[in-house]
Amino acid sequence: MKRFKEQIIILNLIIKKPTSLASLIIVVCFVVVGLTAPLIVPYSEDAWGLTYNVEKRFLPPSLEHPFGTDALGRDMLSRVLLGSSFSLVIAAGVIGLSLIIGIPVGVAAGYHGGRIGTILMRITDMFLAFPPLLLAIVFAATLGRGLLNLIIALAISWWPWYARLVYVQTNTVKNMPYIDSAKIAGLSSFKIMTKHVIPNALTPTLVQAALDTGSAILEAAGLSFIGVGVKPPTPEWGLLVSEGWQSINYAWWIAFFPGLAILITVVGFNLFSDALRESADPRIRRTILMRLGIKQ
Amino acid sequence: MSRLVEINNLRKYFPIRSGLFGKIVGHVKAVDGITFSVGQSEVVSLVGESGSGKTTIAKCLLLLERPTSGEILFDGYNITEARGKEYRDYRRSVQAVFQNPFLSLDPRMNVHDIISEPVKNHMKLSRKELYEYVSKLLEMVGLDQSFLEKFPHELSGGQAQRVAIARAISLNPKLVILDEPTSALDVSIQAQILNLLAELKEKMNLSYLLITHDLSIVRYISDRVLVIYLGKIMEEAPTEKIFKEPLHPYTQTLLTSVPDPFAKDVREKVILRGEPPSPTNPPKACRFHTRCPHVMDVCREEEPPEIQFGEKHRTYCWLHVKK
Repeated sequence: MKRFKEQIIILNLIIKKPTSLASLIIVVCFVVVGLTAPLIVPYSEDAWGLTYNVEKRFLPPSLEHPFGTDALGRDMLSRVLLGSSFSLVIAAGVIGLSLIIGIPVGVAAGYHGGRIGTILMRITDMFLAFPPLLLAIVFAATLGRGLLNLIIALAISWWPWYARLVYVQTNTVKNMPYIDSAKIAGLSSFKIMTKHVIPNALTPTLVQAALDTGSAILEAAGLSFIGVGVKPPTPEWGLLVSEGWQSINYAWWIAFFPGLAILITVVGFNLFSDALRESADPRIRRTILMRLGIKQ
Repeated sequence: MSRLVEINNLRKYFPIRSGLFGKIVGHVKAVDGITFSVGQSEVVSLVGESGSGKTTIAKCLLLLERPTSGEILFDGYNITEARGKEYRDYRRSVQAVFQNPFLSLDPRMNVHDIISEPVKNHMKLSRKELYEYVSKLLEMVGLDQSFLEKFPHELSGGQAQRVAIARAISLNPKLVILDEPTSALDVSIQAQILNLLAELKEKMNLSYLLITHDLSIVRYISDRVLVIYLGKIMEEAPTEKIFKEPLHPYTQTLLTSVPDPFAKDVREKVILRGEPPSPTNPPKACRFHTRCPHVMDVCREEEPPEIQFGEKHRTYCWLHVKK
């Protein structure tokens, strides 16, 4: 139990604040639905977009189809639910891939410095010079439509931000006296990096990554919306909105429900990462704990 | 007393780079030709203002900085070139305790992991043996087993410094470098830590190189004192002698800044004005001449020679050159 002491304190703090609790619920729901959607959707074939049924097109929300049906008569509830799976995969893929590239670059540049560090950071700066969404659009358009290409395009525009963050943190940490202590203990540079530098330099980056989940979902939806993201008939939220907005005058529900899903998920993730940042920082945590009258 | 570490003419210049291509425009002469030695189970103090180069000497000795020139001899070999077994031997034999324990202990490790880190690196012990070894070390520094699971932020300053000391002695070192070991602590704790250090020295036959600006702890613990100013030695003498008859004007001014409750005669206060000059561009000839109350013409023109007074007392000052 002792090992998870910190995590339990963080969880306690999140539960104590209504907005944080709401965000936690949204995030948990999103993840649970995202993981189980392929199994629980009421109309599985509609969800994957494998069928169409002209007689049922543009049906407004009803008990049978709570979110209505789209231009091809497919159940929107099923499509929106399955969309969360795609958003989950995209967010995890983009952030995971960005971290896999960004962390080693940042740590290597920050810890060793010198010429290699300068070269690595100048390359990073080159990427940072472009507006990230624009860069993602360029790469997505070049690579072509598809789930994997979308993830790669977003990751290419995202990793430099993590590399930069890790670099700055590594630079701070490597000059701490405890790094000198580790050298005196006779540890190799590799061990110092993995056991001291990375654990101490990574917290802000991981919090940032959690904070970015909402943006990743939003940007992926944006790319799909303008037509450089996933291919139809994939039920990706951005694509669903883009399919629905032409008929928004007479079938508002087609664009509305995927849009609402994006809104709730992104707001939920942003509030959740705020809550996480507040409670994971020991200094802020102490003041909150004192305000709540909890003994640590 | 046999010599453990010998430092010969040690220099450390830090280049000052400027401009787009990092052209070297000058050097900070942090340590500029220092020679001294530390004997077996001896406590040597390095005393000086901040910026005098004390910590740089320590960093060179700990292989955290590469000296610009000069040699550091340990067991007969030059450690700046040591590789393999010699290097590992040296790493084991020379350990350090730093000023602020909360910065020198990794905040993400518990006490057991902190103390066992050097041990794991140099010895092969099973989990259980390691646990017992660490517990024993904790006991030696006056802490009990309940501290093993604690993290640095859960400790008081004195407790954290004890943990740092336990880590420093964990490999049975010969020399421990104490870089301002008590300056970050409360006065009441300082005495406890000093007593602990004195006790460990006796028990483990340690040598200390004590780096400090606090002359009262020098008097308490050290055998020999080196007074350093702008990277050069001003005076070296056994502790009693330096307090009784300081020869260099700089030493004299340092000593008058220490309150002495047992002083029989009130010493005339010599107060230095201004800051020490920058080590980038130190004064020529005698480095102290810009602030010296006894400055003479010769001090501005020529570097003072080494003058021996008795066996272990040397100073660099024109005042004491016989005409």
